[in-house]
Amino acid sequence: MRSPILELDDLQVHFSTRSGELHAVDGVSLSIAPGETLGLVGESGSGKSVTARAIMRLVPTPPGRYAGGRILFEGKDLLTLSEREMQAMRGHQISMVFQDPMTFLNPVYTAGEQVAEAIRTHQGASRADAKAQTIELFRTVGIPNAEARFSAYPHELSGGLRQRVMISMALSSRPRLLIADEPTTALDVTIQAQILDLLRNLQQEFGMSILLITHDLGVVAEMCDKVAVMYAGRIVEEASIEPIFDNPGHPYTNGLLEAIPNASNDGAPFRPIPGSPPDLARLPPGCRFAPRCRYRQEICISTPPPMVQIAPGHDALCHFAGEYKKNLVEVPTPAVSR
Amino acid sequence: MSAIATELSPELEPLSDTPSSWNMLFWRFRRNRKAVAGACIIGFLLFLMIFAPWLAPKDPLHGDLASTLKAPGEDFLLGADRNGRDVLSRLIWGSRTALGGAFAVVLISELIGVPIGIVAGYRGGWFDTIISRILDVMLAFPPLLLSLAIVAAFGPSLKNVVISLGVLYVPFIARVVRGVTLVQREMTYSEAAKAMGYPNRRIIFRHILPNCLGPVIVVSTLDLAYAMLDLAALSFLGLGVQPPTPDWGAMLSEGQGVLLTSPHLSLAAGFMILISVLGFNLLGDGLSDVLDPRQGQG
Repeated sequence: MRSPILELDDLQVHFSTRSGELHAVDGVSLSIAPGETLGLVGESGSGKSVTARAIMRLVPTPPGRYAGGRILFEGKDLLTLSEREMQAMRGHQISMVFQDPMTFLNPVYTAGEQVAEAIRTHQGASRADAKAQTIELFRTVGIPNAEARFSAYPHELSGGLRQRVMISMALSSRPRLLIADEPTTALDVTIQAQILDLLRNLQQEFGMSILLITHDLGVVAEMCDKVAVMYAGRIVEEASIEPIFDNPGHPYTNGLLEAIPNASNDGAPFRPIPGSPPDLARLPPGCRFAPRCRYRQEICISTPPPMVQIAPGHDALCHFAGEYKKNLVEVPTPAVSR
Repeated sequence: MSAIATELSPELEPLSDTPSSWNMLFWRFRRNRKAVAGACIIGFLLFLMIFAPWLAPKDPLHGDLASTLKAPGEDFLLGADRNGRDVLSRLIWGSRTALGGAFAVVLISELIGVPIGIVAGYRGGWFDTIISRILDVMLAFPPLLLSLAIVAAFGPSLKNVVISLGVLYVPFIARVVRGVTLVQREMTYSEAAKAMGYPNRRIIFRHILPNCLGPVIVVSTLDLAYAMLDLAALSFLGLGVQPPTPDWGAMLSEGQGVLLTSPHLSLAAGFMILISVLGFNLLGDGLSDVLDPRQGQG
């Protein structure tokens, strides 16, 4: 196996709040190989965005705290770097694309100026050179009329174009790893497809790895080589694409799949997962998903589950990983306790 | 290279001929009556200030005892003061201390207040708490009162008054800048700038500061009105501009003793203070409408 470009090793990110210490990221381990796309999936509040920001060391401290674990980027632990060393990584080796295309560009500078600034910062290019490179990048990401768009202010661009500008900015120094935090959530469906296409093509061209954060399993199926499902600060299932969709090993993943409206499933029930993720300040003693789980047993409520290997490269954090459907009685209406 | 991307057909998103932001602002400014009226008044005062030597009909310092307290008339358009000096000339020259002083006060407060506010807002935490409490304490005292005490300690002069007022005006600007920074810091572009590996100093001064400019301009304009009033008040009390330098506040005070017999002295000086404060207020109000982002395009 190729040595991974990014490896999270038991990462812990805690936030101190009035209601106590919240373990937003609670022992997350992940790895991404060069050129690979890993999808990080979960509901709002599952800790996926905090994980992404932690890799960039963008979690505000305080109230946040890197409480443990390692973030190995090409074998180097990012948590041990000084702020100055980290600045040299950000935008250069690791870049990030954000969700909200309305606000990630500074309204007082033109789109081109902002991308050119990134190029000048990381490559020490001259003003004219940076401008030429920016226009070239704009063409690469499919911005029509690139010369004219260089001097367009963000408010003069559509959401899709702004997202393309953001992508061109993130890719300006050909990063080894791109973290895309819900890059298509704020866009409408046709533009979503275009942006995903673009990301896939650019990945092949630039040979970078992508950590794609999303709550949309459709996007994952289209884009990713591997998936990690996050719930309440933990990875609950990790596998490559087919097993996740064919045979989800964790009831939560199964729930997410069943909750996707699907026109071609021949009237099979469309079931939302009841309830909402647990309050991180008051986690259940056993499995964190147990209160919402349709297949839960006594042991699920009392004892935290182990990480169980279902097949090589397919693990799930469940007492009945891969076999929960055989549980004798299906609990009809799960009581949602908070 | 371009074959890589999913091309958007250019006709779907035509490049509109949107006017540049500056043209847009100027257009909104011209349509705002308050702003235009204020700008006209301030423009007129600036004109007086700059061209005072050519506009003033007489030497503002030269007294002619024969014309003491002369009523407005042919020789002295606005009359003469107790020392027989031409009131009109003194008013015109007085615009220099009044406007110049007010601009200096606001400039000092900006130079200190903007960095303090922006750093407090950006850093947050204990630094912000300490700065904010200090500003609150300063705000608890009326600037006029504190300035009175400072000038009493260091001796009356225009310079001392301007410096003390400048420092005392810091909280007004710093609080506004801090508030705007708190909002801007949460905007994704600040985080994006950080994610691009830019150092904090660059994010603060290159990315957040320009976004604070609108509110800073509005507050500064309104502060100019207050500064002008406070300066006039201190000169009125004899702590600011010292005689024989012409100043509106001092003229107001000189006219006080002869208010019943020669009201033109105080009236003329009072009128100038009134319209300049009015001018700055109108301009500030108008600008806050013009620069309000809610009026802009989304």
